[in-house]
Amino acid sequence: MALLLAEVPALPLNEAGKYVAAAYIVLFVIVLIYVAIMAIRLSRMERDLAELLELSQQSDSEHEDENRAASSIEPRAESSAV
Amino acid sequence: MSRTVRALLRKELLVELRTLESVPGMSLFAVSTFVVFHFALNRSSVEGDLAAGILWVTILFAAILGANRLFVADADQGGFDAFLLAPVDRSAMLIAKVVTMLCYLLALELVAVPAFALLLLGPSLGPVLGELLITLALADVGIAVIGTFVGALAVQTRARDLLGPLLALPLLIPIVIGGARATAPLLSMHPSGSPGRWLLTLGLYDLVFGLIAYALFDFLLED
Amino acid sequence: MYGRGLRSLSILTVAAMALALALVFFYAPLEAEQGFLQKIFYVHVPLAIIALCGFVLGGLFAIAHLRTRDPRWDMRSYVVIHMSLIFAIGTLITGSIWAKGSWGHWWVWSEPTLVSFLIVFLLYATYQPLRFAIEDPERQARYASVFAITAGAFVPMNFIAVRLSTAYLHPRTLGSSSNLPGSMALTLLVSMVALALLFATMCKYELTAKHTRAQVRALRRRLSGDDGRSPAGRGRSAAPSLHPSTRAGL
Repeated sequence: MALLLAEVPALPLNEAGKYVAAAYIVLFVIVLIYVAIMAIRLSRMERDLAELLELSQQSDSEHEDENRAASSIEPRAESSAV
Repeated sequence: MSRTVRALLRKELLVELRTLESVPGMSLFAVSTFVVFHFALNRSSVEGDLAAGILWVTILFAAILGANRLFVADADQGGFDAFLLAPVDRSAMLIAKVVTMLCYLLALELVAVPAFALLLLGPSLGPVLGELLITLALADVGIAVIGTFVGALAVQTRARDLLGPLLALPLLIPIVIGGARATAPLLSMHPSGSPGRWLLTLGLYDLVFGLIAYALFDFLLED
Repeated sequence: MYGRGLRSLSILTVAAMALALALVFFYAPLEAEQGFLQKIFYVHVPLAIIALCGFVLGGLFAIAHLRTRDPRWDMRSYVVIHMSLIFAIGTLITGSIWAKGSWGHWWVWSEPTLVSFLIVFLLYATYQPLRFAIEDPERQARYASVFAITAGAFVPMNFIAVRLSTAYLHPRTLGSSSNLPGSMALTLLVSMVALALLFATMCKYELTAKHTRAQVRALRRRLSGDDGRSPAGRGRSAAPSLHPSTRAGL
């Protein structure tokens, strides 16, 4: 084992180190790029959902207005019929 | 089933004979390509690996040209719908088209190989003609199967002229490997070596791909 | 729900990757011929193997899709193939780096694995253009499945063919994975498990994201009624869409 270590470049900071580092960085970058893409999608989805929430609240309030309008019309109709 | 195949085959060959839209184009393309190679490589005579390479690349690209046009008429003029209405086995279309493509390739090689021998090839073809023909035949079956299959896949897409070759080329690489390796020793100054191993590879590839195409073709035709 | 096991899977992945990296740099011995450079082996080979398995898995999912016509299988096939393509690119880049370090060239034709990967990459790179070129979603899924099955069967055949073509000419450039001493074999195994978990996590992540997006779209359609308003300027994507009411796990 000592003989082996004596023969091979022991320090990682020489020629070989750069290539090894590059290879592992590639893996790291792939995962990071993927995280970034997911982050963009997530923020877009959040925006969409906020819009949809607003839309649903809008339609809810429209519904309320309609109901109120409908219930206020009927008593007047009764009184005019009489 | 064989009656259907024969009927379809007859139709294909008749259409080709009348319109002459594929085979003359493919053959002309091959001869032009040889000329281009002469200028591109700046060589008057080639042999061995280089010769095999030029021959196979040319045949491959000419074949792709032909495969592109194979299903276009059916797609554009309702041939698919008509076929689907008929109460026949759908794989008959695959077999008929593969045999058609095979005929196109044989016609192509009838022009291309002599042209190659005339224009670019150094050593003479005489002594090795038999083995060359067997190699060509085996490879042709593979090219026909893949070309037909990819043609059917690509014809229903929007960018059919681009997608067809793009899909076909990687799938055809093992055939090029087998064909070129088998042909190279045949085309050298001193023909040597037996292409047996490569012929076996070609044969096996043809078989496997043929089975896959046969199994999956129906799914391409449904509507 | 697609996201059900996602958290535990990701935690497991982190643990496995940490262990793998520790083993690679602190435990695995230096190789006699290539020295420190050989450490790339522990990221390149797992990427390669997992990408290949992913492609074949995509083909298997596609078979399930054609058999059952369930669009969820098509979705799984798409995601797995997409992820394998990314891993294949990683394989090519790390292999290239290794080649440059060993031989001074960025590309070597004598290494059959790299060459096969190039061919496989070229083939699967057409998968998305193919999907994108077909408008009708049912036909798109069907054709994509046919392609995935064909390409999945092609992968092993391609490897054999390329290996045959280089066998008698050059020795393997980047060293083979046979005759590995025990410690190296263990490190390789752990690396493979770690990267396989990473693959699974990213796939599951992707499926969950797609499913959620489909649900959001369905909600929008329901809320805006028959407005016919399409999702703001997102354009068509090549990915299959999933009906939001289907519930399934990966």
